[in-house]
Amino acid sequence: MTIDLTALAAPDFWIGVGIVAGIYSIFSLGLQLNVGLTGILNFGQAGFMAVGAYAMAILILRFHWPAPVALAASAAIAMLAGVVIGAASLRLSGDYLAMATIAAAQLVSGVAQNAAPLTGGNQGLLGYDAAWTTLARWMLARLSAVGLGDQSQLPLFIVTWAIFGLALALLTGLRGTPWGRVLRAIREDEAAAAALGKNVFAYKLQSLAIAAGLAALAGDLLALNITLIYPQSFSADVTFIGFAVLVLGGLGSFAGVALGSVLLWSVLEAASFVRLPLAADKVAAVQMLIVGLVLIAVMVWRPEGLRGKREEMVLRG
Amino acid sequence: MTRARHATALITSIALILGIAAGGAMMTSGVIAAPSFTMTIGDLEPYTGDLGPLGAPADKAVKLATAQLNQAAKQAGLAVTFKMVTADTRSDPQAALSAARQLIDQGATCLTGPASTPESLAILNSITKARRIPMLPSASSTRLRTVDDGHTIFRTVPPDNLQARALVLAVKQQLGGAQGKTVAIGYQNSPYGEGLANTFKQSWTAMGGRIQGPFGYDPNQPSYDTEAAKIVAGSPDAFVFADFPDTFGKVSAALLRTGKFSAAKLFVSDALAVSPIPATIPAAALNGAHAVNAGSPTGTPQAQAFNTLYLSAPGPKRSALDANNFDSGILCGLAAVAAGANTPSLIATQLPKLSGPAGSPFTYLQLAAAMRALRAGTRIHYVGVSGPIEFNAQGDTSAGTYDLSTWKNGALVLVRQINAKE
Amino acid sequence: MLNAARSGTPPPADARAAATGAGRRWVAAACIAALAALLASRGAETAAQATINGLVTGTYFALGAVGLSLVFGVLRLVNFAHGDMLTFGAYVALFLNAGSGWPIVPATLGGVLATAALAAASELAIWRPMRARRAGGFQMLLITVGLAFVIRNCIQLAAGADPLQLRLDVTSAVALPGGLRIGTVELWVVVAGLGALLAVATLLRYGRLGKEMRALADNLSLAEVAGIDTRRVILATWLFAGALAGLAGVLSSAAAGILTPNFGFQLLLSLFAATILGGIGNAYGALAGGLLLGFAEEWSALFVDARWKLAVGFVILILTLLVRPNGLLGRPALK
Repeated sequence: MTIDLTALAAPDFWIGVGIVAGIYSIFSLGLQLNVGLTGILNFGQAGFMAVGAYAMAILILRFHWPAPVALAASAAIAMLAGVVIGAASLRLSGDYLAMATIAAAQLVSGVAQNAAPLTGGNQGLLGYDAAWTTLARWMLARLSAVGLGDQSQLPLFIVTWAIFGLALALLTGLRGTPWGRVLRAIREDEAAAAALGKNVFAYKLQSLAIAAGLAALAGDLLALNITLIYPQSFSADVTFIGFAVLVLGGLGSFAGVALGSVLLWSVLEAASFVRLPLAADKVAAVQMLIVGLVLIAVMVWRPEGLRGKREEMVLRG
Repeated sequence: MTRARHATALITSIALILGIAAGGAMMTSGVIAAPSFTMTIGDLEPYTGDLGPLGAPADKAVKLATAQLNQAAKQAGLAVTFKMVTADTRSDPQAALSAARQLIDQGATCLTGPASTPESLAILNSITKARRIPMLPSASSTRLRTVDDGHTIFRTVPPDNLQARALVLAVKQQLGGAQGKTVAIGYQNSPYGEGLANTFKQSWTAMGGRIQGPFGYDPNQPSYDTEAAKIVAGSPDAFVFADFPDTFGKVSAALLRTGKFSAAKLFVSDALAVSPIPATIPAAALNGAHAVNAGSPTGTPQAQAFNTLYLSAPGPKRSALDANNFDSGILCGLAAVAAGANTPSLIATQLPKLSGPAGSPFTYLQLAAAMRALRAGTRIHYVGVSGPIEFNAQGDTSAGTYDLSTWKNGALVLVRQINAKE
Repeated sequence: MLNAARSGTPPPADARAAATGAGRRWVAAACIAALAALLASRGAETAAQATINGLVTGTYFALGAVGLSLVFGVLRLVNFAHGDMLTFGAYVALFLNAGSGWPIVPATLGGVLATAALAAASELAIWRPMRARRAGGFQMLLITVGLAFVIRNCIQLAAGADPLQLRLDVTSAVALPGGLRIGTVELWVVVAGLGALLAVATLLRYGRLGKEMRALADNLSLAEVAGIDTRRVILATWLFAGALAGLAGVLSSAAAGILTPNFGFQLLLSLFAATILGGIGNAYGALAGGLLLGFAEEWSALFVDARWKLAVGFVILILTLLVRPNGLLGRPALK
């Protein structure tokens, strides 16, 4: 067993990891709002991500909308999807909601795969990133003034983490407002919140819609990173990894999500540098084994996550 | 002391000047100084995920290519060594990007793989186009040729539009014309299957033929009996399948169970052109069926030698695109030898010059001779295990020569060659 | 479902039973309508063949769903690792059959026993200690997700990603009257699978264990007070769930012909759908839910492009949850 250090020390590799970690941070912020703050078991976050990414790409490619408008519209469309799916499923209790949302996400992916005239089908969509490429080039020209001009992925890294920062500030601000307190009350005792005259359902719907909007932004950034979207990019595994990020960072902690994401992705990506005396398909199995072990270990030994508070775990099944 | 030092300096300077002059003279006279470098081939394969079964055989092929390159370089007396690094693309563009960065950071200057078009496009647009790093994907969709790749993508796998044409020609000849004949198409609902099925459908209907389907099916279904019943319904004149072995194993069993399926009417795409028939596909589904595959995969000496080489090495059994992956690895190495440097952009420039009838032909069995020829500045034409390599302006092989083979007692036997040139 | 009415529980249960009856009538009507539409538009032979195919697929779903349903009913745990337990059983049988040369029946039994042991081990090593710590539902749910990844990737680590197959001829078929056909292995799977399912369902229906399981499902602490050894019943639930998962894995991979490490996980969402459709915690319900889902998917393939087949399962899952969250046949209002 050896470790290849030359590539492990290369900045562009870590910028790439940082982009993925940032995308999953934004993605999991939504999960945090749902699971950690409101107590909604949203297992369909990858579906909202797909809705956002496809909406952006379709608006740009088929309807020729300007990219910034399409970006904003993609978040709005995903929020609308969140409202629709939430309206149908949020009255279900926890476990059923988990199954309903994961099925909805699979349905989104089925539509993406089979409604080829709209979504490009299996071949996916490509070429929606012209405006972004221009912006990235402009940013790189500025970056070269400080000697970072040849890190071609740095602009996306900066934009991703800037969006995460904004979302984090927004959610942290919202948590302290009466609105945020109602969400927490719903998580702790839904019946009591309802008895206080709060429209629990409407609050849950808002929570799910915001999470869907965040998933859409994560999806848009994913689309810019991989430069094409196709159905398999939004598999259920994306949601499961999001949950691993969530529990690592600690339930109820918005900032913890970033910590969890950076930690998980660093471990996952660095693990591929460890040269095990194994066939490659088996080495890859080790990597996903790590995700599973992280989930189990954290939930068994430190369910509040690495820096969450234990009282946040009091969650109704 | 000082005088001695001056003298030494003077002598050194003269020696240096003479040396430079001599070097320059050598350069201008066309004799290239022997280069000395280690070239790293980056092998991007899907070891996990949907395309997981393709990974290990492709990796083995590129490993064998690297060993052949090293052996040939030694024989040719070159101070060039080859190294291979590999990473898992997990059949996922996101993971493929990370894998590609990892390999490039490890010094890879030429990439073999990845196996799918989405992965190739992600890597192209995010990394390799800007840095002019050549990539030889084993994805065959026609779509890869239409993207702006800055002349960095080269394929030993012929694009699917040529393959669909070869399939059309094969079916047409067997049925004695296309007019009014019905072909039932089945395909795996994936970029590969869907692309081929639709291209075939267009060409066949353009010739006046009729289509039943195309019937797409998900690789993850528990059973395929209803699909099989729809495909065999009304006994069509021929069946065409674009699929991978692991799904086709399940589908073909369902086809046989209908009792209305005849392997003699079956034509399959290159991903299924495996010999011998793997244990996961019922032999009755393929014995007597026809397959198209680029080049001459079974008839030529290099193909036979490769088969022996591959089977004598430990690891996985033969698989659909292993020969193409082997050729990709060899081409990377030859291009580096031709460039005389381990520089990606130079390798990318040299790659298209290794192909085409303008050069003298070499197979991998004459690799040392090919390297010597390249160092002497001769143009070569690499005749691959997977067929002759002729890169067109888009970096695709334009050779368009397909083998039509049939399975007899579990092994593919060449029937004849089809020219599917555009 | 029936027990609520039969054991003479107070009025709400009668109301539940009435609702269940309505659900059943609704399902029966929908099935008859679908069949009539099929017969009218596609002809008797095509419709009958699709129904036979639905029976085969439905058997896979039903077999896989029973264990999931029992664990969900008794422990309120949605087991995301259930699909990978199927895979585990199938691989054990495969190694015994193709690797060690055991005949198929003992190999199947080996797979069944090994999976039951795996499920029991997970109860002893994880679930029992976690319940003792009063772990939350979310915590347990994520552990099952983690366990799914661990089982699947351990299998891949041991066996590789290449597809493998049992030593069986999956290509032969039995000709039925009217030009209909069913694969020989498929026929065996349907007979053995449905037989095992009916046996288990009847055992749970009338046996003491089944009564105790239902008592636990209704109210765990009450069952404890009533003197039921809950630890034993829960362990037995896991053993049953594991054994049935193992059987499901071996039988459905045997009939399909090919086995990969992703096999069970790919089936999981369909199993969720079957469980929900049949109502949780109920072996008869899982049987009916699985068969219904199988029919629906295969019938749908005659009307729409078969590419949408899997999506049909998800639509049914969502619709069931919307219309009758406790399943069309399930005993309602478990809280």
